[in-house]
Amino acid sequence: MTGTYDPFVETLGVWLVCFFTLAVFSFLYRDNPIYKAVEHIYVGVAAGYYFYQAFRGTIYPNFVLHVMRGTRAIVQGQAEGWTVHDGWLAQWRWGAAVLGILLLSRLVPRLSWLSRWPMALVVGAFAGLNLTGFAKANFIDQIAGTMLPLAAGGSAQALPFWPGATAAAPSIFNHFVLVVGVVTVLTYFFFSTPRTGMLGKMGTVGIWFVMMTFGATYGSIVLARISLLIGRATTLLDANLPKYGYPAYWCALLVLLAIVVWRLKFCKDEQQP
Amino acid sequence: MRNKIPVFISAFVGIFMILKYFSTYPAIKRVADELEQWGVITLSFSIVLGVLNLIKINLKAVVERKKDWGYKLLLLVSMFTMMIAGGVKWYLEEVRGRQVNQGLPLAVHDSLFDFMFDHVYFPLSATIFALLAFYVASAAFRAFRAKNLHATLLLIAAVIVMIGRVPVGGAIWKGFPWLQEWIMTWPNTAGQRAIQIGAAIGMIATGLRVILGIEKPYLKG
Repeated sequence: MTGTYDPFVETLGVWLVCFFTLAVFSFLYRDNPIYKAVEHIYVGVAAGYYFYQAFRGTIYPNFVLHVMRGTRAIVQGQAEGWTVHDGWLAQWRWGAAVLGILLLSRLVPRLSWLSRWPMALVVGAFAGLNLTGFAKANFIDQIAGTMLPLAAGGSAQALPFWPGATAAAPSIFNHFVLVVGVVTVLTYFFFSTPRTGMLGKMGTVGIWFVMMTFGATYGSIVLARISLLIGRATTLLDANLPKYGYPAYWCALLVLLAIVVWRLKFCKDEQQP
Repeated sequence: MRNKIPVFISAFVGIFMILKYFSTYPAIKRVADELEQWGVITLSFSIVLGVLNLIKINLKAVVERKKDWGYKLLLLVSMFTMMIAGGVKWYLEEVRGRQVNQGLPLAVHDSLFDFMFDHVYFPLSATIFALLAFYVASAAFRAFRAKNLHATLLLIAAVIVMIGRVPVGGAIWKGFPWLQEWIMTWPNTAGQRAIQIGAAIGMIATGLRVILGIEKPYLKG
């Protein structure tokens, strides 16, 4: 939590947290009105949050404050280290606002073609940035990181099992695993020639590495989700205190009652899923 | 004009972004930085566009009393509440804050916006993601079957990573935490690295196609 609130507001907040948490978990029974309501509240609050972030984090500092500083420099002759020339250069930023407003033309079908200009700017800018960024970080740096010693010498250990060795400690064996893994997985993803002979054998080893990678990633994802689930359960337990009036119990009862009423009153003719 | 100008804009901006990386000439860097800011600001307006679209669609459903209009009303009310709360926070920090804090913005931590973030947005977001634990576990039950060598490797790697990362894994066998760290550091890095290299080649090719005007995604729609 980021805020510090007075006791009444804090209690109200704890009740809201318990209600929203249990209302979302009610989906485990089936899709129901309580879940649908909080789902729509979530979409609304998230839209409002991202709207605020877009304005406060980008449009306000990068456009409004920038242009205002430039205008002050022009009017006063010099402001906050900017000369009149800098002030006029800052006025170019109006172009971004005009393009941003042109993007909104998508809402008017007759004028929606105007939105292609700002879209082209965004696509072109990020294509250029990603081209160099990916080429450096995901291509050259990754290849450089795979250039590892594959022969024993100096202080390098051959096997990763010497006393006190951590699993991440470099050794010839580990380097070998990494280099063979990268080369064979790349071979597996090389579709320009038929995978026969040596290429086929390398591709087979490659898919073993791919399967281990996917398994490890899947295991990490399962643990991350379970960790979130434990986090929510801990939040409910921490909030369920006498000073707040046991909100988790009451909210659970409220959600349960709402589902029972909805099930008995509005779903009489429906079959069980 | 409708098709040629966007291609020109995309190529012009894309080339400047590449030149910025390779050139040390200050003028090029300055123009490229400015164009990058234009891109960032324009991208922010896409969120404004999304919000306006959300208002247009949901307001129409509420006014025409379409199916589930009550939920859509809830969506609009919560969205406007958050936006107004954000506006108030901005005013308190940037406008009034600068007046009382010698021209510098003031940090406010107990506004309605912070309250809604802490007690509505965050718990809902975290719980919706936590809900996925049940579905991920159910998917794992179906996927983790040792039908052949490939599926067995997937199963073994996932089980070792899951067991090795929790305290009970170390209690069963002291080697589990070591083994999971080894899998994550070496074979997993090898696979991830090769996938990253492949994706980077794809990204470079797509970027070049966009800048050269062969690929024109912005002309669609």
